[in-house]
Amino acid sequence: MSAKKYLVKLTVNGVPETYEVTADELLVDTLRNRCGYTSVKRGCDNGECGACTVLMNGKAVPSCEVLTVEADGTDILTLEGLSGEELDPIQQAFLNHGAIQCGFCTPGMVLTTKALLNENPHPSEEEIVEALQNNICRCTGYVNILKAVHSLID
Amino acid sequence: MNFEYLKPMSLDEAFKMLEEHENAKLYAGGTDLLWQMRAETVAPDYIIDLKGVQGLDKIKETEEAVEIGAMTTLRAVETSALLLEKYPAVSEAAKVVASQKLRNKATIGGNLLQRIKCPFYNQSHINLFQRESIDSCFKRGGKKCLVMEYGDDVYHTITGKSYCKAPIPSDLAIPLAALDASVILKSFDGEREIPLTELYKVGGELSLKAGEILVKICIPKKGNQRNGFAAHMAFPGSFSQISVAADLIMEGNRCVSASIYLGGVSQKPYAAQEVETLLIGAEIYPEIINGVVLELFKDVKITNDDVLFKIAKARDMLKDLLHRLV
Repeated sequence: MSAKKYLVKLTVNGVPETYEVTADELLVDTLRNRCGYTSVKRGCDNGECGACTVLMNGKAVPSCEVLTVEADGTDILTLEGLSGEELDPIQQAFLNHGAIQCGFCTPGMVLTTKALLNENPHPSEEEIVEALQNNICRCTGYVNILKAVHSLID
Repeated sequence: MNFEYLKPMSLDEAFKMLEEHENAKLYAGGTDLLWQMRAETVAPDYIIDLKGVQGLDKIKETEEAVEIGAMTTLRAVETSALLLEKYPAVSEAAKVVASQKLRNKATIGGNLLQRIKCPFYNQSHINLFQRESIDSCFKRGGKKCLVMEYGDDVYHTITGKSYCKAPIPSDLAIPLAALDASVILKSFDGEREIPLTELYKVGGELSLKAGEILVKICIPKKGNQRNGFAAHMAFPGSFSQISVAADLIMEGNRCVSASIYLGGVSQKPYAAQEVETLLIGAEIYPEIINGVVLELFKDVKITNDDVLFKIAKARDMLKDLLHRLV
């Protein structure tokens, strides 16, 4: 006997799609495997590392802590949805300041920055660090990432 | 994990679902329920998502109280202008929970009702951070409390009689206890209002009856209340080891009423009556505060370094908090 399936409508990066999923499917798996958006990474499966961050209805959430059925009817933004013809200013700032080494934490960092600046265009140093608190980076030491974010605030 | 997902559109529908399905769990933000499922401490057949029920996520002020809906996200509690003005202790507590992203999902009701976080209890082969490595604790089929065997450490209680040494895990319960908050529990049979502190029983269990849903937290307005909160944790975003909340009503320099609660030290929010009695009715000067905090945990037996640390740290934090408020 197979598990019950649910029809879930997600608008990911502006594209509405309907998926048939079981109740225990996580949003991070749906985005990676069904939608093909592999910028969303699995880091800790606990909501603590920030690698799986996506914007759900504009708010930064850890997609490993969201059941796909729960996200029915929501708007999801991943890194793939950020750049169009040109890179988003946040992506460009990260490049300009050497804020990327292996790149694993970068999608989470960029999306969290986007949510922060959407909510608060002039955050203080403390507010930036608080917003990026659970985006863990093993490579850069965070200095260049913070420089990149600072450069976006005028 | 094999379960079905239900989304009621009203509380009555939710009550019906709870009655129809015996092994069902309520799902608010989901951050604690998913943790419990990964730790394999629960295995529900049905998940009832409360996000479809309208009206449970508002912060409202009435003549007598400030009411916080149980489904309000912790991020909303943290940033609420009303709470920051009148009850900053509650916002300060919300701010230390997990991280911003998790607080976008987690709810205050879920935080109050979360399961104990003792690492020995939560061992599982799925959970990366509390990996299954030794015998189960006695609550999960093992023979004894593993804290007793391996000794106290900073994640366990230092006072209170109980066979289970897991402290109350909710950060929000501490300032709400200090503010004399009550909670409204609804069920098929009606609703009841109880003091928040009565929600917690010794042993890490909750006094919710089957079929009951926590819908609202009420903070009674008592006048010019100076309240604040502080917590200590190993690193930002981890579970707090000790927390302290205080609510003082002053007339000039004189303390008319004091309510001080601590978290991380007992199975329920710990009422620091030994300190409260010394403050009430007294004129408060800095030297008084420095002396009064030494009464805290005076009767707790210091069995090892971790207990000593917790007592010293709690006294320090309470001292700083009282200085800040007065």
